[in-house]
Amino acid sequence: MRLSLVVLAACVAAVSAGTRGVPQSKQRHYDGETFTCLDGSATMPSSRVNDDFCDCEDGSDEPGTAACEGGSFFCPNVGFRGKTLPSMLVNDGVCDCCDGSDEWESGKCANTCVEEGREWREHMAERIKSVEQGASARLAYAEEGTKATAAAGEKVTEATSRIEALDRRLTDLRAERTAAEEKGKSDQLAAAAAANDAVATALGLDSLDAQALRRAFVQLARDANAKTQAEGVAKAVARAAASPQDAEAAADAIAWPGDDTTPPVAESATSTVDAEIARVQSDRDAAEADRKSAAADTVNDYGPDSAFYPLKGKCFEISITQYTYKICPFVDAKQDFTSLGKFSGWQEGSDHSVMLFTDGQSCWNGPARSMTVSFECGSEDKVLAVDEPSKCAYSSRMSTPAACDANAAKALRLELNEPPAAAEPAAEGAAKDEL
Amino acid sequence: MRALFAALLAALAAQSALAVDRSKFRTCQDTGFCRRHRSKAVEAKWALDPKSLSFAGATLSGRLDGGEAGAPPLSLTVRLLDTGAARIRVVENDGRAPRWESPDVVLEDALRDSSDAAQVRADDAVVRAAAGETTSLPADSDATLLHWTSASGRRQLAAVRFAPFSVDVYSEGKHVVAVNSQGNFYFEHRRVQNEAAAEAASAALGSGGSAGSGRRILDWGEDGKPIYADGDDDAASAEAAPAEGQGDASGTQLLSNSESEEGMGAESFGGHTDNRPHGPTSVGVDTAFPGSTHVYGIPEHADTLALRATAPGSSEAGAHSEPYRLYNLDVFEYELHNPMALYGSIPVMIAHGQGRTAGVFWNNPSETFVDVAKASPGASARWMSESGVFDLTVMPGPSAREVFRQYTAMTGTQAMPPRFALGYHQCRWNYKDEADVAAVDAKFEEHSFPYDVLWLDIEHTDGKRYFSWDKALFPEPAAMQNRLAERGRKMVTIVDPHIKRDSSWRIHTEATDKGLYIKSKDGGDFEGWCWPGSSSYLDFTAPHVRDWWAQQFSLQNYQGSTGSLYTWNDMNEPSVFNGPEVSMHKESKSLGGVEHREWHNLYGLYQQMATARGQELRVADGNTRPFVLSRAFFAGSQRYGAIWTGDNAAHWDHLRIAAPMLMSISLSGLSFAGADVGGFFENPDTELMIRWYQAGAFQPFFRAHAHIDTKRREPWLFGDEVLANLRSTVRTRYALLPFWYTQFYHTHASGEPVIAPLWVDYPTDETTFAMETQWLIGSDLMVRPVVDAGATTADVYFPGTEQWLDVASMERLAPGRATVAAPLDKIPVYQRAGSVVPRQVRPRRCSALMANDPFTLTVFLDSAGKASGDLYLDDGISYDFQRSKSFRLRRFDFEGRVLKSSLAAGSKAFAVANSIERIVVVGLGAAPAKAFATNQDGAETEVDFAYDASKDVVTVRKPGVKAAYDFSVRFE
Repeated sequence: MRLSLVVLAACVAAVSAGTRGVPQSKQRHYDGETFTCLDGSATMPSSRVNDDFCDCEDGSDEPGTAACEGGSFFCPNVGFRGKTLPSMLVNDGVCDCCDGSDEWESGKCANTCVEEGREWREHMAERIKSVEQGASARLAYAEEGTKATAAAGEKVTEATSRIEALDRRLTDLRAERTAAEEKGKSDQLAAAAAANDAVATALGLDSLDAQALRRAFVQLARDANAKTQAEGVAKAVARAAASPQDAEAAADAIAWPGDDTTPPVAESATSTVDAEIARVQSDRDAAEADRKSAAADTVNDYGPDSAFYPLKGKCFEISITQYTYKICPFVDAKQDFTSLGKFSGWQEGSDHSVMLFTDGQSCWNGPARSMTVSFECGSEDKVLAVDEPSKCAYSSRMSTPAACDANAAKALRLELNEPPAAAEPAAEGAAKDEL
Repeated sequence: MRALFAALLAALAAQSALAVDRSKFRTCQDTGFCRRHRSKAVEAKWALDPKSLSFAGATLSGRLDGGEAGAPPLSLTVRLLDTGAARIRVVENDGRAPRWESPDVVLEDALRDSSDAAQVRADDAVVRAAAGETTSLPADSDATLLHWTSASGRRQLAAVRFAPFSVDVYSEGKHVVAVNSQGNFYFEHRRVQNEAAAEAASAALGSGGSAGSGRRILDWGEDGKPIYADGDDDAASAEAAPAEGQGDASGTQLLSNSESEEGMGAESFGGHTDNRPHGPTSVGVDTAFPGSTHVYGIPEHADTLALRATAPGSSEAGAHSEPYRLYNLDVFEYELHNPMALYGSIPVMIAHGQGRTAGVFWNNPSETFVDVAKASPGASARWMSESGVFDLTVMPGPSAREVFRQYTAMTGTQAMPPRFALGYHQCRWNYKDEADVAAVDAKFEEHSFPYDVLWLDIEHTDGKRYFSWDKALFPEPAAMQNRLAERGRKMVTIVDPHIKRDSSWRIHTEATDKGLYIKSKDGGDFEGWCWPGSSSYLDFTAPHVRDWWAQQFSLQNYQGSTGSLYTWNDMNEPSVFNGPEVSMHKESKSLGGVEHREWHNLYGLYQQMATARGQELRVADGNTRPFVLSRAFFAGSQRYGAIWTGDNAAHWDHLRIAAPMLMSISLSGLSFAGADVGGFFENPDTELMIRWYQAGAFQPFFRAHAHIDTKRREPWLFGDEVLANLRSTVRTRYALLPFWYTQFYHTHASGEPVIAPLWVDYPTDETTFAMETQWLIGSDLMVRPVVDAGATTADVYFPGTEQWLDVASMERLAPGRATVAAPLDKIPVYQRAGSVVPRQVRPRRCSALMANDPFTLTVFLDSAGKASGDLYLDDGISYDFQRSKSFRLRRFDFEGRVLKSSLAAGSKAFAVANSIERIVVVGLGAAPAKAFATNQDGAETEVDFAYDASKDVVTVRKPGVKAAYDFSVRFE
């Protein structure tokens, strides 16, 4: 504390020696007997600096007054942090600097820098804590996300190779089935020929000469009263052959193809293959389903390290006035039972900070409802606010560790530990030590 | 309601989606009195009895006989006023109580008789000077001649002819106005009413109950259409039901003397029946303007500035077939370029021709149609009003600025607005809650974008109960206003005239218990549908109701209000969603028992009057200027605040029409007017936004507004480039606030319009007579904004014989036509040669924070090396400028290479320390050798200056003089 008082004293001295509204880093431009506009556009006696008349197009000759449109004013805010304001805020009656230096004409503003600095530090400490907690929670999110997406990837690979194997097996089986089918066909032809031979033998056709065959068929043609075709043919052949054979016995002896109860060898062969094919196909379908479900996990963009992955499959609610809003990241958003949109990706250029839900239920007289969800770093997953800035275009804010950046806390720490700007550069070390 | 329902269905069937539903609004043909006036050439039956004449003070009195058989005589007065105006009044002389008149339109106590008015003979020496050497005047046996001199020294004559009765007014040798020269004087005397018949007929007709057709109406939309319980807002499927009443046939039974002329009895339109129990009481007359080629005024119409011919038989290109209508109505999605009625009515017409300007004020707040004709020898108008007295003021000019003074001497001048009201206003239906308000305000801060007022539309209320806040959305309204006020900003909330019929709400129960509501024809409180659902309407025509209303604005009664909260009176035509033409039944009655038809066009004026009073009363000594925006208006509304042109659309043609509409309103005495920047309905693209801001920044009331169904359109939502463009435009407005404020002082003091068409200052230049794309602010700045999509140039007309100065580039333009480059960041604005324009060029958050800033004077010398201008200074908020003359009007004169500042009006008691930081002199011709400034103590010092030879511009740097005090700057 003693040290910071020394710093304060040093700062006050530094400020009173400098040009009003100019940070230390630029003071050297204002130290000469002439002043050159920072944009180099004009040079003038230094008496024209802060004489309440704008001489430089860039406004740099009036850092401590409101004379120039577009000029800027620096307040040292000793005890807190320096701040650069548009110079239109100088002497406008509103206290914009905690040290009150922007209202130097009236002097109406109390110096509240020490108090504000303390509040700010407290606030920053809390913020850092929350950001750090978020960042460490994010590790788990990222781990889960990375694992899950990796596992999903593996699953896809595994299912893919399984599918490939099953596809190979299916190819084989189909070939097998084709071969069996072809063999069956030729077996059938052979069996039919054998059966015909047997019939011919049974009918004694082989013994007939052409003349006899002629007679037999003539007889067959003339015998309109034959009981059955077989009997007719048998009789005809028997007669034609002048054989003593009993025609009925001959007919009975013929093994007619329709009487055979034994299935052909070929059919039983293909049905076995078919069953195998069906089993393999079903295995393949299962593998395809596995692949799809695993692929679904990899198709979404879960952000860096897949840290947003753990939000998938979860829904978050908030009740505002009479409505309950339900946001299911990567799926959809609802206001009670009204769809505010289906997930349609990350907002372009938002660097995985704004999720879009579009094509929700149509508004009366208006567009289809839509919602944006802006994620900010926080230690827990939580909907912070829902708003409807334009009719049926909703916007919401969610906190989540997934949105945390390990470097953010570091940057905040740097900001917190940054010395009061006015104290630069001499007091830099001391200020750092103190904090 | 059954009939109303049917009519709406019929209307809906005929309607197209994007335009006004014309079938909802009456035409002349739909309106008995207008048909009667228009359909027959009214015989000039009325004659002034010479023996009845008397002249006392400055008033001629006499008796008019004639009219229809049995009509009682009428009493005529012609009063000659010191302004030069002549007021002609005709009232019934039938032994009954006089017809109702408002005591609040004409400022009777402020009127002054002409001090030298006299009856003269045709051969009196003064006659020819007033009437002209060659003018043929009636013989003394046919007329009486009245002579008087106006305050500005104009010699004037009125020739009042006996039979047929007519009045001709001459000024400075010219015949400027002829009253009843076409014999259209028309006065329907009051009939004796058969009460029993009226009651019977009334009972038979029914009074309009609940909805028929089996479909339940849940609500009424802002477009006046029913919204059904089955979720349908369209009614194509519904069947027609018989209309309430059956029109004229049944209505004629109401009249004991069996009037048989058409349209004299009950009349039905759109499912509503007007029984007109008092019978026909219309009045009308023609007024001609010899030598005038153009007529202007009678706002509010979305039409050209120069009125078009409407009279039957007009052959002029673009002539309307309908007369211009004056009947304040809430017209949903109004159409451009037609004579339909809109939200406000000012029955003032200004006629202009080569070298002469004259006007007439037809003081009648009942429904009025105006036919315009342009035949030789000059433009003319025919006035047709449903009721009321005949009260016509002839304003002979003969210059436009004299006409403005003659008119505003009758009805008052524009209220001096608090200075903040001239800044930029940010509005939207709706800024939803306190967080939204804070976020929008923070964005303005972040972008260093100046604004003065943030507005809250109807959704801020608890269920459309005005004077209340939605507690969930606005839990800490006073703290919210105070946060804005810390940076000098204000807030406006909407307070409409319809009161939700909620028996648990104090405003309603008090209004009911005290009997403050307008009565229906049956005697109960009138009920109609508006934003809150079933509503009643306060009778603002009654002084005690206005007093009660004013009290509701006390900080105690209006919980959550603060001294930085101001008011917006919308829907005060009045808008009644389920009423005839979306307004009130004409048979409704004021608490004084006067039918709505008599005061319809005054309703909005009276609400704004009461609201303004309420704002004054909330501070102990009433010493604060109110700011109230109203949508409806009438002659005299200028005394109470601002108006805007209602619900326009984000279309280029709506941007274009804003200029003629605002000039028309401005010429009619009401200078504080604006159009919603960006367009209310639909979404403007960035180019339209940019161009609309540019035009709006140079119109008197500058407010961006948007419908609830549109996308957000605050200035930063179009990208950085557009933001920078809009900010630059708004900063230009703020830099010119001293100039604007000075112009408002002038209109307040003298009635001259803040913005005006070019012909007002260039009255002999015919090029300017119909020009409506460019306008003057005061006399010294001329604006020609770009209002066409894709335009990169603008055709500008530079009137007069001197150069004009481009205020941005400091280039000089020769008189005549020129096409100037107008890229997106260019607003063509020019300063008149011979003028001095004051500015405060330092940007600030809002106008209040500019109070101590120094001034820059831009002196643009004419070819004689002279220039003059002025600057009005006061505290910006109180009435001290009136009460204790606590203001200074500084006058600047440049002559002989010396600029002098002197006190033109006000008092030295008002002291402010603002300095002059810069004096820019354009046109000295060469660099001066030296420059010296003399301050108020007489001490002379040499001052620095820079000279830009390429533009002949001298810029004096910090002359060390004060704006409120005498000084001089001389160049050697």
